[in-house]
Amino acid sequence: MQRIYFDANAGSRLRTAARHELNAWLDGQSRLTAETPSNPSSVHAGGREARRLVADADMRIRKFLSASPERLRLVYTSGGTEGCNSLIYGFYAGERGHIVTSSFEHPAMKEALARAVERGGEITQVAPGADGTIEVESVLSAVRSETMLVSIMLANNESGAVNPLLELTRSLRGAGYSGVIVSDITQGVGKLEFDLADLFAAGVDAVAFSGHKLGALPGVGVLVFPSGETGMSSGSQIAGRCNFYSPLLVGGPQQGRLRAGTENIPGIISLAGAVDEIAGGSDEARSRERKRLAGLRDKLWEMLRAKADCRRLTPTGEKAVPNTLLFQVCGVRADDLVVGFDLLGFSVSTGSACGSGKQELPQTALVYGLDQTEAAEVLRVSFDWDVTEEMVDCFSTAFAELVRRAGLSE
Amino acid sequence: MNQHQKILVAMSGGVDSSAAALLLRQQGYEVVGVAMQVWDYRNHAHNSSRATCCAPADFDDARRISELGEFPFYVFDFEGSFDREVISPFVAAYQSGLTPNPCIECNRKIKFRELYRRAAMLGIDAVATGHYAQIKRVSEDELGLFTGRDLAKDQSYFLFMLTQEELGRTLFPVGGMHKREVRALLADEGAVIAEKDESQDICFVTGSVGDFVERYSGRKTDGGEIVSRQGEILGRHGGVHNFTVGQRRGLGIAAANPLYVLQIDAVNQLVTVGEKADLDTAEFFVHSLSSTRRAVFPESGEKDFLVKVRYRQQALPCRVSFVSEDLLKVRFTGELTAICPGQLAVFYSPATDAEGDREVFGGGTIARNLEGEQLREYRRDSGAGERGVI
Repeated sequence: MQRIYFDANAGSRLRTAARHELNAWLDGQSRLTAETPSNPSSVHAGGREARRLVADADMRIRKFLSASPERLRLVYTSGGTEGCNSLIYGFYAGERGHIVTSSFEHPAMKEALARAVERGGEITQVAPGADGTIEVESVLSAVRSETMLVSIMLANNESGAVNPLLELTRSLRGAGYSGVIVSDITQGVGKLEFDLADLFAAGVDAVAFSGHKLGALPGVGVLVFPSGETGMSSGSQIAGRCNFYSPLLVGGPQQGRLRAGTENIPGIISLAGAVDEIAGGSDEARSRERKRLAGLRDKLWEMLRAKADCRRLTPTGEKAVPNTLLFQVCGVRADDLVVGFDLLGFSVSTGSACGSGKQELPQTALVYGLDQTEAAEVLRVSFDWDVTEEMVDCFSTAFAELVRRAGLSE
Repeated sequence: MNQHQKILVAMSGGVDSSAAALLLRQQGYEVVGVAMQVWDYRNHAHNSSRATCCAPADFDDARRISELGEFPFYVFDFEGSFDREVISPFVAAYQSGLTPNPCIECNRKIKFRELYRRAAMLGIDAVATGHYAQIKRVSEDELGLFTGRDLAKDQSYFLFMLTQEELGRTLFPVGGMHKREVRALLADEGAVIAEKDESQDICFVTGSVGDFVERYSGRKTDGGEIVSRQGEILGRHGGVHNFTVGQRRGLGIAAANPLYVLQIDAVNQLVTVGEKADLDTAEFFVHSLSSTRRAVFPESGEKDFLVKVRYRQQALPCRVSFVSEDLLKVRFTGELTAICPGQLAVFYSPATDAEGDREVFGGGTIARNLEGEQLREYRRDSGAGERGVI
């Protein structure tokens, strides 16, 4: 049975170009029988070859992230979770200050923050506004003179809400905030058009994202700093204390001692392949593609709401990433729908795909004010890069069947 | 049965349900495995140590079986329902001096109801569990529920509430097997399941029930008096929820002969004790009836059955008579035994069938040996009957 994959926010399928990169690497591995280019730190020929592969991939990824690639410093990690942990641990370790964040961050960020303040400190969580996104004003009023760190995600993984990170950063710096600004940009990369160098120029200190949401292998992610003195953007100075980045993983001297450990070569080169594919074509082509996805998403919404009593939780227009639709199906349990869809060949989810065992309630739905019962009726559809209108139609038909059965079984 | 092709199998990760799922696969059915998480460790502090079921390792075992059998497996969250429909009434019943059987309530309100509902939702016609019980055709238009072939493992007692309609949609794949054959099946399939504590105790309580009830309700009662049948005060107790009829331990009273709990009055917090001979009951009442088939219980006159008044007991001969709608009087015709109000009485056929299996006709909730008006009052006061407390 041909399956239809509508759960890209949990993990995008491996992009074709990424697959080619990996095949080439595997072929290369088998050719070199005496040496396997697996450690870029080694002095010998194998090491140099590995270093070349990583450097080459790095250039391509930087070009994808900015029109001024020389202004970015990339550090490769094991994924988004390590990235979020690094952002927090790296800039706030043992302080007793104040942190401002949003109330719908990914668990990796939330838990990293919670653990950071165990030894002292306080967190203020800013709730989204009525349109489902974080408002600049809310963050500004939460920031105090003793605020040391601000962490607001670029886009929410469950609802797809896009937060005004650039505007927020400018406002914060403009208002005199001199603490650290970091962001989990995982769900925005590849879905939104932005230049990371602009974010750094505005005053962001570091960002992190995951590779497999872009169609690379799972197990690789990126931490991005402005190049130059690591950890300090132009606007960031904590009075009386230097706040350079402190690495999460220590050990060998890899990656300029910013992240110890042998680099994940297949992961990194798969990421280069993936971003090449995403970036392929002109700005205009990419813009058209984003519009296509948004159009299909909105068409799907219209079809679903015609078949059942639904409530949309994903913001409209530019306030959401184009591929995501989070919605409540009133009176029908979402975990039943997920399983029902699975058995019919469709992959969707109810929220973060991070638990084992039962499906978790989507936290963002709760943050948006739904109660536990309503949140248990919330489903997330997130298109992958190859979505077609036909897939959307099939999904809609399957939805109608499941809703009919739910009505029968009540 | 081969009118159904796709079966929804309830899997706990234990030997029986795992074998049931694999057996269905062997027989050519399409299987979808489902586990019910009724207990999330992270949320409960009522138990001092691990509860016996719903550990993440249990679901890993079930998941491995699904990988072996190449069928999909899902875990569903039943915590809210389980708390509302099983644990909460359980605590309330204990506090009323009754001895509930939560496994019956779970089967009735959660397990089977949710299984059927989910099956309908997923477009599946029939469900299966690993219970040791059998379903057979007994006439042209009726099915009957029977004891499992392995009488030492028979679980038909817990299934008496299944209706005729439900029997038509349910399979018990290992019901006709002996436990050793079930283990052999798993071994043949190369399935390795951690030996779990398969005690029939309550899955959500470790330690004493009394402690659990106190912690769950957050209340300690003042307790009351322990009295003899003649009303003589023999001692004090710390709350009726610590006692069950027939109990001998924990009374804290020195006496010439062992004393047993005869009766519990939750309203006045009185526990009446007596000697073993006083425990035996000649007759009792049963209400909140259900039957697996039509016209099973007498609507006038009397009928003979075998009855089990607790799970771990031999079925005893009795005579059942109609009192009023949804109320039967039961009189032991042979050996007598103690009865516990709140427990379930399940009625079996006096004779076995051609294969040596015994049919289960249904059952209901046991009530004190009260008549008519007194019984209605008792039911109202203890919240039994209409409110569905066990």
